[in-house]
Amino acid sequence: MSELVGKCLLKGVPPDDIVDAFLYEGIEERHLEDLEQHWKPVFLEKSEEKKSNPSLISSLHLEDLQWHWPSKISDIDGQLSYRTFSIECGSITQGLMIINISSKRCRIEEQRNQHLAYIEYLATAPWNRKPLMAPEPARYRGVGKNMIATAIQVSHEEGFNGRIGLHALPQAENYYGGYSGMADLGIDGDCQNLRYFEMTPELAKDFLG
Amino acid sequence: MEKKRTMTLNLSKVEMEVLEALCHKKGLSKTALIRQALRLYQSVDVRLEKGEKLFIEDPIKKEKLELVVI
Repeated sequence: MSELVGKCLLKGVPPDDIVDAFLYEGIEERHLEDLEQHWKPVFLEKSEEKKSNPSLISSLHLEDLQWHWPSKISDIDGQLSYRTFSIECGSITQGLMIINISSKRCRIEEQRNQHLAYIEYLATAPWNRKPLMAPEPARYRGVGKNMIATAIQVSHEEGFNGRIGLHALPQAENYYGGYSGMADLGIDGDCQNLRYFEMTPELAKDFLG
Repeated sequence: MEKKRTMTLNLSKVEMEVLEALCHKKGLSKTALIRQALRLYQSVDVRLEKGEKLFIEDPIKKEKLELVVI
């Protein structure tokens, strides 16, 4: 069961209309149905359109298409170590996130071994991905930003002072290392060679502005 | 985000000293630390219930010590 946490704001198509979205704690059946009924067809359609250009397809890094969310949700069902979130806009799921609040520790020297909220999985709907949708504009912007802000909020609620961490898929490295201001700790050979990013309480404060 | 419920926890002097030392070391409040302990206990229990085993590994010698959790 999911619980409404509150409203959040997304940017719509130009000229940048601000639209209301809803943040829920929990991922439930209707969210998983949206993945199958709405996300998957767009992913397949857009991938097909770009199939003639293999380097372009490669640059889109659609690795998260392989994530099987129903299994992930089923695996952590009832476990206190995880908190899950979803964002809806227009009654459609726009983003999903799973946070591990138990078994990960900080790596930045100044906060080494302290607890943090670790984002295990974060995905945004295909129509919100600019490179995938090009030349059309992305439908909504700000899903990732709202999810990161939520993870920081969770970190505060758990007594971790805003500390968060994640391993980024290649397509998201620029976002986490640039826009979000997370510290880049380099490639992690123990985690599928994904780049690891972490936020200190100070960086979290800067992110929230 | 969910509303929390309150309980009273009675600890011995030694238990309280351990709790306070861990809180200091981890930079957590007593509540946050107890909640972490509960998560860990549940997480271990779920895996043991599935028939999995819990090991502690020496990172240098690579020796594994199986923990028996009751």
